[in-house]
Amino acid sequence: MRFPRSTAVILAVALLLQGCIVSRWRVGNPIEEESLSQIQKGATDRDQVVVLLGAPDRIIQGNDKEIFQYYYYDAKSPALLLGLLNIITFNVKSDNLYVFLDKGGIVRDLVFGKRTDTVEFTLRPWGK
Amino acid sequence: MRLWGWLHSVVILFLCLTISSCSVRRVNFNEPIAGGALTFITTGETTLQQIVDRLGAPEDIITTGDQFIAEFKWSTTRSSSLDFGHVFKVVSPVTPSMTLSGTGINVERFLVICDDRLIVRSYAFGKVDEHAFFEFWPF
Repeated sequence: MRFPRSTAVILAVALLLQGCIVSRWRVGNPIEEESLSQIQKGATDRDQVVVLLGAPDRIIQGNDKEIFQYYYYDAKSPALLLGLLNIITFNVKSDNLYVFLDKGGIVRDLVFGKRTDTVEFTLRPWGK
Repeated sequence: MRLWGWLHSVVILFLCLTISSCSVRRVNFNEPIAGGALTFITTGETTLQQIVDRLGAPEDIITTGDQFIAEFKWSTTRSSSLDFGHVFKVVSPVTPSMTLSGTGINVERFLVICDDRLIVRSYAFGKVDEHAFFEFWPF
């Protein structure tokens, strides 16, 4: 009796994928660039910022200013549990938005950086 | 000759069982910032947003006097463990845990000091940690 080739392929793939774990973790809400574009320096006030972006994750105070911080973390974690050797990698990147408000609660500056679009499922525990 | 064959098999089985719960883990938080990537910064001219456009946003901003300090942070964690308890799987219905493990975390920082208008006044790297390597012997 011949062993069907397709069965062999399915069996091989199943064996290779055995112990393979792929997981994704997210913290916070993604910062929507569309909402950011509606914030005008020198015009938008604190209340409008909250309407557009929601309540800040953190408020930093000082220099007669208030800074609203919004953050979002995205993590991709591949793992290979081979029995003899288990390899687990956890890649995390962050997006952060800082909205600088003056004494009157008007937006003076915006600082936004996005990294989460480059987070990858890379299983590489060694190396740099 | 036959004894040698048996011994060989036992040693291989023992080694397989010994490393059967060897784990290596790595956690990467953000991309490292290299000194060479900062050549575009000119103090007194470059703004914080220009730095953020190239390096991503800082993890924290603190205020001090009339200045802002932006802290960029990235880290690498490496962890490894070896559970010798699995050797007992052959003779015992329960598997005790006899684990040797080590974890090292490198947290690195890049600080940018900005004035009230978010123009860069100075910048510096924090001291580099060198703990993140795979280590099975904790003693």
